[in-house]
Amino acid sequence: MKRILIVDDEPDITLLVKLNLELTGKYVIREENDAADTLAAAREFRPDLILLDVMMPTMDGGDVVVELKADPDLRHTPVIFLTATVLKEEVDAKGGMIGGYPFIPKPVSVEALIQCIESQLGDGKVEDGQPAGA
Amino acid sequence: MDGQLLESNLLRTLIDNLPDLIYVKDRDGRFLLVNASHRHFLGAESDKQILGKTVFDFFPKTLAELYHHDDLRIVTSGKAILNQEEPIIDSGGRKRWVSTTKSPLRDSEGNIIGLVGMSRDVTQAKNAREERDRLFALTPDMLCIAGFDGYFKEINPAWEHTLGYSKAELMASPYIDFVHPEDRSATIAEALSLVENESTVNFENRYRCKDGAYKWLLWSASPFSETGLIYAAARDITERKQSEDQLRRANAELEHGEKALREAMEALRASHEELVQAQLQLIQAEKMDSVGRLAAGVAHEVKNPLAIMLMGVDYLTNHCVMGNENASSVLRAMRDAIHRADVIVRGLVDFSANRQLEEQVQDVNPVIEQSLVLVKHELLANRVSLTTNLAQSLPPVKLDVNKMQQVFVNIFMNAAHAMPDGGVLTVTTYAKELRSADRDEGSRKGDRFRTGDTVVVAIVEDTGVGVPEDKLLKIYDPFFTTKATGKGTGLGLTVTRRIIELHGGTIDISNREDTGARVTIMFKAREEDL
Repeated sequence: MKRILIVDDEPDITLLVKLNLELTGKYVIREENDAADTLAAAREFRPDLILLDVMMPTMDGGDVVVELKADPDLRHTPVIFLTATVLKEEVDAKGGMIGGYPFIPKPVSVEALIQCIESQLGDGKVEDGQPAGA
Repeated sequence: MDGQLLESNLLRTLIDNLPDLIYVKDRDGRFLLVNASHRHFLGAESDKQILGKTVFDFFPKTLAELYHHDDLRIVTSGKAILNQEEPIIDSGGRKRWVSTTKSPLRDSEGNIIGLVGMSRDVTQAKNAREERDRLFALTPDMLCIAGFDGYFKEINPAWEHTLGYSKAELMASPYIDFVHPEDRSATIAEALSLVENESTVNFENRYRCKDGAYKWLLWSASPFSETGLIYAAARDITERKQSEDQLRRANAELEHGEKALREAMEALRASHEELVQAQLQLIQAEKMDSVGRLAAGVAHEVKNPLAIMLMGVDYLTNHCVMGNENASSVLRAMRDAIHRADVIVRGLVDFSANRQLEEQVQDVNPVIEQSLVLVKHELLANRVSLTTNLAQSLPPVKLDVNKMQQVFVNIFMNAAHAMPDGGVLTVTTYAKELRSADRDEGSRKGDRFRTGDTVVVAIVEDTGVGVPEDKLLKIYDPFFTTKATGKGTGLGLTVTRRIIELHGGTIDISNREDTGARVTIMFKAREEDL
């Protein structure tokens, strides 16, 4: 069972990600709706992967990544940005990666979400926080 | 003696019947003979009342002395007086004028024994002459009598007043000497026609004044060939001429001014039109910008709810409704609806995001080829065949490859959608130098390129249904679409044109002569890279 931390200021989003992923029976999910608490939640939950919104009221997704990178225990944890701020076309044009991170534009189908998560977990090898295939 | 008597009677009868005053005086001025006219004039009944008397007996002293003085001069000098005008008072006390001729009377030895006189009443003629002279002097017009010899014979005082010369100066030289050199030949021609007995009416020439200035004169003249004289009147029309000149100049200035005004008006109208056009474009651009800003804001807010709905639908599909076909259909419909909403929101974001370009100098052909690869599936599905006429070695243009790919994909997709039953998509590229007549090709505004610019032209043609003529102007408006609901967002061409305009290019969409639409895109070639 892979542990996934989903961070989004909208509880409905985190709930639906949780419900859909749990339905597969492959994941244990923790929701976090306050970006500022991400680091604490991650330290406690120890996720295999973090799904991270970009635009959140208390803290920007980018800043959250900077915090995670600063933590030696979390710096290698893969992060997927799940965001409404980029377009599918932009993401597609750049092979799913922006700035070295995988981006999933909202809205996303559960199927596509799981596909992306699987590919990031894949062999699980990451270097310096950069997911494989970067 | 009968003969002598007859002659004496004859002479007497003759002088008595003449209306002139005829008289004979002795050396002392005593009347020796008067005729009947003289007798009446002096108011005498008979000759006896006169003979032996002198002028002092009949006239006031001053007149009598005048006559007597002349009489003495004649009898002493022997010289006659001819046609001398002198005043006289008749028996009624009225003043008259006579023209008097007096000659010495000699005896058979030649000694002067008296004088013979004859005075003719010229009062009427003199009055007429005086009247004429008064008018002659009074009139402001210049009156003259000139000879066929080219000299003035008589001029009135107006000449002196107008030209400043004395009468003597004017009469001393041929009148042509006073005429302006430029007017001389015309004046001579006019004078010659007067000599030929033709009158002059409204002839104009310039006469030199004593101070060197010239005056314009307007002439009327008639010749009197028997005496070889020309009677003429001239009017000083210098002021009128100057007014006319001023008027003509003023008119010319006015005409010039009017022309300038008309030109200014035309320029104003043109610039007003340009201003209106610019304003319309500005309003349109601002509208687009507002739509863009609004879209960017709205999109983010809409995408989260869409994400929730999509994941909700997915959850229900996978968890709750397995085996329930109706519920599955409902969820499928919902998923499609979410997808449609997402496409529209993406279009909006796309539109608002297209503000900055990542340009590179680039051949346009590979961009077109890549875009064709992306729509290959769509073309196949619609049974659309492809013809490409891409020019070799096109000059490069400055492009944002991704955005231009978006443009071409959009245009190819539109073409494919316009040919649901198959057809031909033709893509042509070439470069050319713009001539002045070409400026409108590709853009109604035509203000992006200059004559002489080298442009790269891409033409995309389809054999589809074309665009209804009344819709051609609206196709760039946001949310305007000719496609069925759900088939188009109404943002494709809005975004397309925006991207092309950001590139400094133009797009023009028209219907082909036979069938289908033609999209013409023009970019300015990069001069430094030519």
